[in-house]
Amino acid sequence: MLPFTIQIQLGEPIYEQIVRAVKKAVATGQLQQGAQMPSVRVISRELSVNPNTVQKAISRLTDEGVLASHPGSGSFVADRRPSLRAERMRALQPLIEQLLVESAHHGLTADELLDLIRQHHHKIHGNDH
Amino acid sequence: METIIEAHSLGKRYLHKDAVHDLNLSLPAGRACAFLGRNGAGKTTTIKMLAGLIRPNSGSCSLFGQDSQHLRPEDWQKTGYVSENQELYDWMTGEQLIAFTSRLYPNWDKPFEKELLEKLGIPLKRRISLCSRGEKVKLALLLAMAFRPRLLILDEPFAGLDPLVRSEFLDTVLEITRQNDWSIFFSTHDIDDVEKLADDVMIIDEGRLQVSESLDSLQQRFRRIDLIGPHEPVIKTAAILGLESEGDHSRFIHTAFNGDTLATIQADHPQARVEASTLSLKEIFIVLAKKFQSENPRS
Repeated sequence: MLPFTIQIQLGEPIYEQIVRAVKKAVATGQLQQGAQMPSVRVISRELSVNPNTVQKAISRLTDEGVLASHPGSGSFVADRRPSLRAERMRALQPLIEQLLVESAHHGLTADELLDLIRQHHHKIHGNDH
Repeated sequence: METIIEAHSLGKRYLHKDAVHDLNLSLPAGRACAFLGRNGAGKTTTIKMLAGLIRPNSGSCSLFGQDSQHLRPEDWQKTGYVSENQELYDWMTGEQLIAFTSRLYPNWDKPFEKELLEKLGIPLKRRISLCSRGEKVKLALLLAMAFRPRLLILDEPFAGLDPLVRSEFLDTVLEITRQNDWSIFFSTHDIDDVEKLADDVMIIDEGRLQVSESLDSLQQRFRRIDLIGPHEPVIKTAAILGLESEGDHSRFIHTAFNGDTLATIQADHPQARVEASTLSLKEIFIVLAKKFQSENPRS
């Protein structure tokens, strides 16, 4: 069984879905820092997808600093480091925009939206953050 | 990177019709390529020319650099081929046919054969003529894979298979990618399976190759765009397909979407809300097939 949860949906590139699933598992603690990632071969077999697709996801996660690769022994979940402001903006801005658009449609005020975000943050990270 | 399959200006004429016209393709090692097209687009003709089973009228093609018209036993020992209709000696049992075929391949991998048998669940003692379509297809796949070919060519492998057999088949094909050296070239109508298997996509229509690129880039450049709210009529360009408008809502498929496209559309239609959504390969294929159909209506 893979240490992250994924349900492959058609329509979005599969490697992007794997990237998101791994990031979510790291964020929720399902994948702990320092944990070893299964090999490309194992992931590709479990998900029944082409290994090139898995390799592309692993490379992307490594580039983004979510995983670290140790030559000869595979990939590990990297220690979390504070990201640069520019990186953060690039990663979050489109999502925030989407969130704001959706909440406007539902008539949410900024405070209500922040409340929702806090609740959800609590659900994912628990009390310790 | 070694080129495994290559075709240069390949052409085949049947009577007065070009089945395949000026087709160029190349498949590098370590990639899986899906070969798509409507019925009668020229897929099987192309595959049969690649496999040296029919002679092109023009151009040439090769496997492992060896002209397809002159493939040698050593080239076939590296090539697994499952044809459209799986011509098997159906008076034999599965067991007999496996024993017979394995003798033709010095590189036959007996333990791998056992592994594939187990995975696919093929009846061994039954005459092949009494087997179901799914069982025959799985047997054909085993015969094409048990010698660990470097190239697997599959013509419509999933046709007529139930979802369980399809998934067993797909899992088995993926086994070939665990080798150091592999390539897959397959034609199919079951486009949902393509997204999990293919690195590259080629689409043929009326014998001509219309699309040849990676699945990622194809999925990245196609977006469904919705314009909601009052806006000027959308001006049709070559990149816009399937434009529909109703009241204050327009929808179309943008085929050259990139990071700037949304901003450009928004600038053209400042009053409207612009939404972009991704398409599955199946939706992309249908949009393109409709375009081909309108450009080349069949009589």
